[in-house]
Amino acid sequence: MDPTLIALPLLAARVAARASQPSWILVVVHDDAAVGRTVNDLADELEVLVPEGDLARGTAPVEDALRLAGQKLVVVGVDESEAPTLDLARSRLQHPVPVVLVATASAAALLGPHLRSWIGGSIFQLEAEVSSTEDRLADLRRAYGKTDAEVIALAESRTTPLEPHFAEWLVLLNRGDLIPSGGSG
Amino acid sequence: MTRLARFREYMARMNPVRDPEQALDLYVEPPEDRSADDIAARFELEPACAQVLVGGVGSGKTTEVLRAVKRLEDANSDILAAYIDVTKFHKLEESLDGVLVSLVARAVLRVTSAKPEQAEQSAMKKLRELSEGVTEWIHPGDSFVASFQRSLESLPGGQPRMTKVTRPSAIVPPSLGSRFAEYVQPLKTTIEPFIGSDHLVFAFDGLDRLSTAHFQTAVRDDIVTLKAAGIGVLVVAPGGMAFGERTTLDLFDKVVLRRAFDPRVPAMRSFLEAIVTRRAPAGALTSGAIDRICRGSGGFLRDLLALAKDAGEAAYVAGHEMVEEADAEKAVGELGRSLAFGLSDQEMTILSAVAKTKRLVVRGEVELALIDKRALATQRDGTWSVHPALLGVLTGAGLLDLKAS
Repeated sequence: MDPTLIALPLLAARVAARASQPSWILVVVHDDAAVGRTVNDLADELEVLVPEGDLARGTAPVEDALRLAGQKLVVVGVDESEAPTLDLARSRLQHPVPVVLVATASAAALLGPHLRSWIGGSIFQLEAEVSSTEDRLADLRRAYGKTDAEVIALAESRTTPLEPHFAEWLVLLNRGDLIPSGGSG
Repeated sequence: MTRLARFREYMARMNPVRDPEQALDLYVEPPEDRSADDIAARFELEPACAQVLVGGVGSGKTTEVLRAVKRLEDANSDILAAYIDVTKFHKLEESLDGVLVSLVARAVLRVTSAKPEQAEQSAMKKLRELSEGVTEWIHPGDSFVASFQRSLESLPGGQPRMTKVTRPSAIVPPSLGSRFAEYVQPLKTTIEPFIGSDHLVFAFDGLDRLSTAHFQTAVRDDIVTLKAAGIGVLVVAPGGMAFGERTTLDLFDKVVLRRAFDPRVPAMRSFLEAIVTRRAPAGALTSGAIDRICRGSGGFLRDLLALAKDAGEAAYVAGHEMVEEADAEKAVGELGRSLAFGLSDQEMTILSAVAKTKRLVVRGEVELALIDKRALATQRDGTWSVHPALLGVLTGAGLLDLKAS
């Protein structure tokens, strides 16, 4: 059975709401290539929701990523070789604020029962991973409370905020020509 | 207090991932199955016994161990008890041979007298070599460095007169084989002047992370050695131990089984409700939400708190002032989907059979894994049940047929 589907902005909001407490969240993605992409996408979303300097994008292994992150919220990928070892290291993985693990389904299935119990019901799959372009556009409209026309108007007036989602939004509308050169802002 | 502040306080108090040692003040006395009291009472009667606490993930084993140690400390008795989370000192990925003995030796050496007698000095030296490792200069003729002889002889300029040799601590990573018996007397000699006629008990937590198969071979020699030295031992073991082979369990004088608290039994349900209401600020949850959380937890204490917390998050996102039944329902659904994630066809077949018959025959690793991941729980009447959050999701999706065949 697939995990609970969730939109990226809502997942980021839920992680950010837990920012002052220990919490473990698992995000399941389709393939290895999506692991790094999802770590970055989620970290991008979180950067605007948590105070500056409170977020770390980890690189494997997880134990090292947590040690380096100190008191920061961590988003980190975990692969099939590391996943089964994490249960034995669980006491050393205690972290004062949320840890978001991103893994393929095959790696996630290798996580041991102790870490899975820490994660509890917080296993998610991003809607963007399974949704069509129209679904993703609906997510963006819902997340930002704007219509496609309003975003196009913003881009045309060159007041588009420095926000990667607006660039993605324009690309999905086949209006990538409106993305200002040198970035999305 | 603002709505945000109220929900923040609620979330902090419901955290299931916090250190159990910091949550002892929130403890609620269970109606039965007082594992801590059973364990402490046995040590009071037989201080040098070996006990094992077996239980599923998130069943509250660590809390019970901490309470047992606290009761022994508070009892003003002749027992000195210490709690050691093995995983904080030693990588479980490495061999565990000799680690429990080494940790006891290390703890004893830190508190024994500053001016030991000669016999104690010798005993302490031996323990120190085991627990801390040793570096010394040895003549090349010494048998200890015999293995280095050939390479030393080939060095230009001839053989050095003395060779520096380092033997590492047993703790990372030991390879001591069957030599533990020689540490029984040094342990006795070192401990005796310190404790006199009192007794020592060590509670080792964290070994439940090992697979059942690994646990069976990992601690055997250490338990035998510590028992022989007259030291009481409590070890926390994985849940599958209670249903696997008996050889290792037979090493222990007492086996304490920690079960989930079946929310279908009124007394257990009241206990689970008391845990939630003890932690929740007044008026934070509706009675319907508390009921749904207790039923959905299956009586696993970590799931109980995780559901309460996730329901709080759902209520906050939904704009509710209190945690409502619908918020709890959402949290139970997410937990069920998480428990269902990654289940194999073989596991689904077993779950289906247990849901129909309430019986389980543990044939091997697959059944033990379902117990370890708390998809299955044994009740006090000997029946088995599927975790209710998982059962709800699987039946709701038409993946589990509950009709008796």
